[in-house]
Amino acid sequence: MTTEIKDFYTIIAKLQEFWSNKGCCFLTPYDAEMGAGTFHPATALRSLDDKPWNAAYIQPCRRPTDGRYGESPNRLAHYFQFQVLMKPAPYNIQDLYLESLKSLGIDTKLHDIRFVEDDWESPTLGAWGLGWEVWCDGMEITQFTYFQQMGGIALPQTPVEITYGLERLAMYILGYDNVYDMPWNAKSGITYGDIYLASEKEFSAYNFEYASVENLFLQFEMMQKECANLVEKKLVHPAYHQAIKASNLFNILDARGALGAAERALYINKIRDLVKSCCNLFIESKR
Amino acid sequence: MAQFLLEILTEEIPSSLQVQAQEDIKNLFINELNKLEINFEAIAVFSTPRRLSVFIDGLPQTSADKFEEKKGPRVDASSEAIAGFLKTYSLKIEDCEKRITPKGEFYFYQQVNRGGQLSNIIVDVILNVLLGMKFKKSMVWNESKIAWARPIRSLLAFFNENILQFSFAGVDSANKTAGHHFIGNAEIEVKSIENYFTELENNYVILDSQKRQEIILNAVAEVSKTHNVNYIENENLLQEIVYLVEYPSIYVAEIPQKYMNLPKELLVEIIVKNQRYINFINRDDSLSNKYVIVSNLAASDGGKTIINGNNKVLQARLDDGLFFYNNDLKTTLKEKSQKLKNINFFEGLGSLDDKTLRVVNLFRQVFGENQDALCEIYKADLVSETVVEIPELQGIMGYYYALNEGIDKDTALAIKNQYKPQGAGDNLPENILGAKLALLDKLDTLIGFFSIGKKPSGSKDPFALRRAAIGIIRIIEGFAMDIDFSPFVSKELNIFLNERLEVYLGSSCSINAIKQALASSAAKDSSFNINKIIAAAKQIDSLLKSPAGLQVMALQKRITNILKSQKQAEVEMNESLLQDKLEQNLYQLFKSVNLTDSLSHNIEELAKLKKPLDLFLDAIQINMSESIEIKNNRIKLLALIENLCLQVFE
Repeated sequence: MTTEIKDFYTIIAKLQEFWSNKGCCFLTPYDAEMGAGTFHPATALRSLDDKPWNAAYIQPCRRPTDGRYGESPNRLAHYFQFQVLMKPAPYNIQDLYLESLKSLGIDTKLHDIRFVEDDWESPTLGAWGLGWEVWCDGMEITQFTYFQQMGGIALPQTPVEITYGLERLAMYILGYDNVYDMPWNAKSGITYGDIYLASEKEFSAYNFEYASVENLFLQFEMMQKECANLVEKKLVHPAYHQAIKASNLFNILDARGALGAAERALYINKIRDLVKSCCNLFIESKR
Repeated sequence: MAQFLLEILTEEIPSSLQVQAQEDIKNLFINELNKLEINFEAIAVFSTPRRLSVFIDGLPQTSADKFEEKKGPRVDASSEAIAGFLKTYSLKIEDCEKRITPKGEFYFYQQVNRGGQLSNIIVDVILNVLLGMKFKKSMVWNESKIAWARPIRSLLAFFNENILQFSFAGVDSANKTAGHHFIGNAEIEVKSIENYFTELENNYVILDSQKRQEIILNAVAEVSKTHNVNYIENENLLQEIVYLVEYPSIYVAEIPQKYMNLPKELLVEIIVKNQRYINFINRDDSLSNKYVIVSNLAASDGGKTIINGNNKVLQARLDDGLFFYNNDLKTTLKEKSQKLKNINFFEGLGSLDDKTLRVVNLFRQVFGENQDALCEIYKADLVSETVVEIPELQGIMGYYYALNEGIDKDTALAIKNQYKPQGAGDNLPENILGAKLALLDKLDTLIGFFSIGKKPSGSKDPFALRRAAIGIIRIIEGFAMDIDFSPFVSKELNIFLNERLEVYLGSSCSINAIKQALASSAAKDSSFNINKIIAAAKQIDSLLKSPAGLQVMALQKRITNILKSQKQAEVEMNESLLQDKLEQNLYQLFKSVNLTDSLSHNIEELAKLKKPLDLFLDAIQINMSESIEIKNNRIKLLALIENLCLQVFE
């Protein structure tokens, strides 16, 4: 696409540079396992109040059910999101976003970019918003959402969340059909597969076959109790940390096939209740 | 005469919401203008993903003042009542006049809606319309907290050459718009209404959805011709695509050969549903490897990049499909069906495995057949990876899996057809076994949901039980299945099925015929045979519509009309009082009528009375009879004939 961008790392670097220049704090990933960058406190909690907040970060995400033992060229149980959150949403946010694509060498006069309806909802976060999946020549490369609610709370300011699926975007820009063949950074000669193929295989086995269901249920209960206790002590961030962990345990239980439909709904409710209590506490602490 | 234009420029609004928005904004404008008694000649509304535009032609330049008299309370009413009236219209007591009416002295107020230059008034109209707009799903995006489907980014309005100034949702109107997102100018100064339309055209925006549709269909027709294929018509897809683009540009691409062996339905699902491409079939009904991408971009490289990109995405999707499908082929349906125990059919109705076991029994009881082998596997595809991923392929994938493991075609077809017919437009099952399975599967669903009290009420039918019932009726009719349902259905379900039967037959039979068919079925014995009821209704209906039937109907109608206005005396018909040859003749024929059990015979018999009755009534006016006795006697004769008719039809 362009001669300048040859590897995965450069794409991250470009986005980082672009959004930093637009006034976003470039943060580090949150250090707990999560299913999506939205769980990062910089998005989930910081969306709640009416103070301006602009941030960007990479978040490693775990979606155990998407594991394919490293056999699928494009489905991964562990992958990276590049996340931008701006509050309030700038009036020209669509233009800013399109500019970011240009910084990655995507020529919008050659590629068919579309904003395709997507009503976003996260039952575990008690959150919803409206926006789009952004398509580039028929491929979804970004989630673009105006949050309306988080933790069941109607938001006083409207944050916009932009989430780039980094692997997919990179495969497209770099012209690779198999994620594992993609160079991590060209000079090192290391590919994405060199770094992640083995763990992808192993984690698929763990998530689908070997994770101890009994232990997972036990841990879930522990996290749930811990969270409730910390909410009582009015410690927002530690409490929310437990909620994130509970959510990840739920995702593994789901991949293990340990939850029937009714039970699954019950566990989603449990997590949502934890998140809600943390969000309410966050609002309370700001008053 | 004046013209008006409004454009609301937004971020991309979903296809599904645009059609409703077009309708709503049009009605709101019409209502607002009607309220002010402002006439106009024409209104047109246009919608693309990014704009909703309203053009009104033939407006007046000015509007007259409008007076509306408001009647208040009586002058001697309580002070609260008077204060309330004043508050409603924000008045002082001096603003009102007192007037004496026949009912007493009242306060009156002349409310004036000021007319004037329409260019001033129309701004209020715009704001009322914008505030009145509601979307099925909407969001807020700024401090204004105005809700719209997606953020509004610019507003433009003209009244003739005047640029209208107003603010809505934190946006100030201006004479500015934007062209196509990527190949048009980002900021366009609009000089006039006419200029607006030309500027958009020059900037790659085709405002009129009809025109966009034409462009797409013309291109599709050309592809069909060039490649000797037929376009698979899909009205919903077409409508969606039309509202997804401002400048439709069509590119033809090819599905790589290695995927062409996947089941046709799987290919179509992936291609149409996920990617919204247009598909074609070859002359032999197989899927063509050509597909059409409707993009929003006239790309400078002729679409090479777009085609490459879309091909890549499609391949990744098809790879997924291939992966799932090949995995699914690794286990037999029997093995898959082991997992049905873990899937709830519905709370209180057990698992899917329980459902299939009930259908085993129904096969025995209803058809006296052992279909244990079929029942064991007919739901198994629900746990296959392909169906979990694409639920719309339920049944269809089971068909392919069955063929793949060497199960006979009849069984495979039955699996494929188990959900048919789905809705009025859908086909019946393709084979008898499939028809039986589809029937029993639906019957079990009805019996189940009725047993736990989840029957449809009013407009609510969350489990689509009405559709299931119509499906059962259509299968029975289509395959002429003589089944007595009385041992299987409760009284309540029987009534429900009868109601559905009435609705279903209503489109082809007269109400009379249906009611009689249902009544005679109920009278005969306690059996409940839908096929017989349908046959009876149709037979009665065709008898009623036969020449003899029509004669009898006419005869009955003529008599009823006369008797309506006559009082019947409490006397017996007296043959000796029949004076005229014509009425004697009629009575003789009446006496000779010989009714049997056969409706068609009875109708023929009654039809014989038509001509003599007409002769009699044409010649003699009952009211002009020589005496009251003779008159009453004649009325009695007519009543006898009417009774005979009623006897035949009941």
